[in-house]
Amino acid sequence: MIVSVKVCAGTSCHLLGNQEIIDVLENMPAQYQNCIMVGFTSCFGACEQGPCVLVSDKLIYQATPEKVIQAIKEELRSKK
Amino acid sequence: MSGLSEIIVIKRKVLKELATLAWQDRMKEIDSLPRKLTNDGITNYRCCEYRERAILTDRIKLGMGAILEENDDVRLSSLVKDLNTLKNREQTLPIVSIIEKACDRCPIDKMVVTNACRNCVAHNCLNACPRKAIEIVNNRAYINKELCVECGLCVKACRFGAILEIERPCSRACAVGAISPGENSSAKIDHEKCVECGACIAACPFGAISDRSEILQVIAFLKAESFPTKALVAPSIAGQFGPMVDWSRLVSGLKKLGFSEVIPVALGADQVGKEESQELRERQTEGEALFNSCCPSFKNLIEKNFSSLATHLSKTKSPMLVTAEMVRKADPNAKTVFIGPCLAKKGEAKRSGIDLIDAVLTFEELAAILVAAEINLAECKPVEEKIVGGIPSARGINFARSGGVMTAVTGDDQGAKVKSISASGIKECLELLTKVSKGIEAYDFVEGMGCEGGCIGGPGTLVNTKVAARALRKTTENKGEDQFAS
Repeated sequence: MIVSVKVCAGTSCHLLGNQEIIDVLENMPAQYQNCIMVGFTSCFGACEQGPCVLVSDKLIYQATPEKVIQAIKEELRSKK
Repeated sequence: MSGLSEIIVIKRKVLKELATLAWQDRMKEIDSLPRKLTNDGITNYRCCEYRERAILTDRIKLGMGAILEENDDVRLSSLVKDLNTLKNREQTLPIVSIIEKACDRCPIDKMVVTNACRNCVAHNCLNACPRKAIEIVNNRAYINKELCVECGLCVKACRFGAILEIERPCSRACAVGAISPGENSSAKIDHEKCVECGACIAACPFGAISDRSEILQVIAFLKAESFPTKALVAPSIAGQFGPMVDWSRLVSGLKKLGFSEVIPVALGADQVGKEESQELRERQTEGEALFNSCCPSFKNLIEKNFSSLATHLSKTKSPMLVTAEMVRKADPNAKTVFIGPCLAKKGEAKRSGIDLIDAVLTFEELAAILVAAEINLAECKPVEEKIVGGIPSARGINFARSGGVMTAVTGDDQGAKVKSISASGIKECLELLTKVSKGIEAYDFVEGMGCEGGCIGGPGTLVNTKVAARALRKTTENKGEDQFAS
């Protein structure tokens, strides 16, 4: 079971701190590494609400590493 | 830059909104910007919204490039005109500024007894104190400030860890001791000592220290039609705008923004490497040491704290100025904007670069302008043109990281014969220079970088040093060609 995580790498989300989220996703504990597929996208069209991250089909606004990890956990639980 | 704090996010939001007003020719609305920012959620950090707005007003003033001390109680709108007519850019020093309203006036006492003190029987603190500065008052250890010499022995002696040694984060971060409590106890910078490294800005948990920006000047340049404006981009750019933005997309976006040309400063670095290498050979025959001069913080550190070593500083101009010379030679009318990770470059541009550099932006400030202009670099179509002036070498690009200048200057042919060392971060540089000045250690070449890890660790960066180092490595492993040629 793999959860897709798409981080907006647009300039606005970058300015508002997407890098912190990317860092955390790239350094996830081993148990998660095989369950997530991290990708990038250039814009979700919600720049004012950035940083934006799409976890499966759920778009997270004003994302923080905590919010993203929470969403990934929920996704993994619901699909089990 | 390390982790992204709330302070950094606030600063970026302020810069973005300010740039948006300027970009859309809506500066008339500037007086309502602090209110807009608190309404948009920058609030609840201070006692009340009014205080929050007063602080935001000062942040906006710095964003506009104003000197706070001279413009207290001045409306933002009245600054707009002043700044547009600002002719003498030397007056625009200093770069680093205290926002007094935001300064929390942290305690000055170094040794503090906490509630964890149990008034034990042993009283190790009392016994440890060489000055008899500790007594028991109200069932707890009490330090008499008149007698205390801040030696810290009581801190070590207490088995409960009940005595803390604290220091203001700004003072602790400043390796040259340029920050101390002023008359009213808020932080004060001694600009005679400050080397403009920006370490205090990152250290202050209240965001009470910031730097002055030139985003309004740059936006004015980009909108003017009577002259071209050229972007001189520092080698530390690799990876700064995220995983989807390479050099080609950056150039495309900057042109869309209004820059007529984008020139990698790594080209200037290539020339500096060669010239300084020659200089090293000459100095070696004279038995003299050579220090790099490309990092303005390191240069400031030597000039202000180790004047006896100043003769060792390389006479070669910095890559920023060398590149600016190239640009000016080709087009004397062009405005030059240096874009990098550095605050000290803002100072350098106003001192030795006054005739060569018209403005300096950090990567962070550039991102704010791009967002204001609604340019998303990740969506810019890569350009398919050659770089003006050729492709920089990996050595030139590596000026961006600690050790890179040393490698470029000491080179392969000399490597074994040259005794060289590199230090990064002002603290490390200070320790090294102290040893060198006392004659404890001697080198042929000394590389000093004001920021830990080199320029990629600079205060105006958008990604952390580790990510930047990885991107830089990728660029140089491809000898620059992959990154630069399209």
